[in-house]
Amino acid sequence: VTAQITAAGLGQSTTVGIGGDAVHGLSMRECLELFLADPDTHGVVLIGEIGGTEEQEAADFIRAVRPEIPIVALIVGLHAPVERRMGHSGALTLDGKGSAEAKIAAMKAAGVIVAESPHLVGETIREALTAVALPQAVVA
Amino acid sequence: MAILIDQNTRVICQGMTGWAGTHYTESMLKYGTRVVAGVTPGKGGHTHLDRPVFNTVAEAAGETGANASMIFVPPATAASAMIEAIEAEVPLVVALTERVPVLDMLRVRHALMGSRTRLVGPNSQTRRAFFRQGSASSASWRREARGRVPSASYRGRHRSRAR
Repeated sequence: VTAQITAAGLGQSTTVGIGGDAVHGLSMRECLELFLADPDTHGVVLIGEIGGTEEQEAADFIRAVRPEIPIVALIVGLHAPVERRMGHSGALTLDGKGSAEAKIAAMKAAGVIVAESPHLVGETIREALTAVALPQAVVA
Repeated sequence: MAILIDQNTRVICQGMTGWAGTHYTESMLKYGTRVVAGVTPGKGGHTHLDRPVFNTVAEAAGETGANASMIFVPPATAASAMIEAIEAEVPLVVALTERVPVLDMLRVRHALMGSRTRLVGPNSQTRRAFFRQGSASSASWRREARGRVPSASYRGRHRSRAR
């Protein structure tokens, strides 16, 4: 994804991999807070996957603060089977919780632009940024 | 600018002398990250990749003024490494290790409460954020980005060795 964004002609102020384990430190929401507080970050790309509630928390936060910069999200795992761990120990759908569908819905409800497919992220953030000008993006 | 890190970030690498530590530290150095020291208990006083190695995080941070730590320690002892960095009040700790036991991480979360440390990971790919700093020009960054499209192969290597 970072390569795509770079290929789209956008630099990244910071890229953060928050970690795929079930229990970890910095959350997606905290990370987003930091990015929104950074005057040189003009757009944010969030990459989420199934399992946990990080993306929902980030979506709630976005809905509450209504950021001025565009936020693009990619949520992977639409076709992941339930109750099977997918690579990362945190990537697990249980009892219908943490599904990609639910996360995409939460993101859309918060006004986030959701990239339909992994290969469209670069294009999506570029379009979103051209709408508000200034080329610089960030990946979380 | 950036978040979490900038060109003044001074990094120590816990587990630098190990396989993963050597590999990633070399990449970080190539990218221009200011790696100032390594930490491996028992190897204090040695030099690795032209950087001094210390026995403890407190010692390394005290001697070098480091303000961030990367953790390349295997899963079984990764939590202790994180807790050591938290106790040494390193402001930013990034753990790359995958498969840290969940119960160990609960101890780490407990140590984080009320601490001065911000932890990224474990199982984080944040090395690129670290890479991003320093003197790297946008051209070299672009090369880097193209050459290393998602780090799948890297992760594969990292994992198979970590097992």
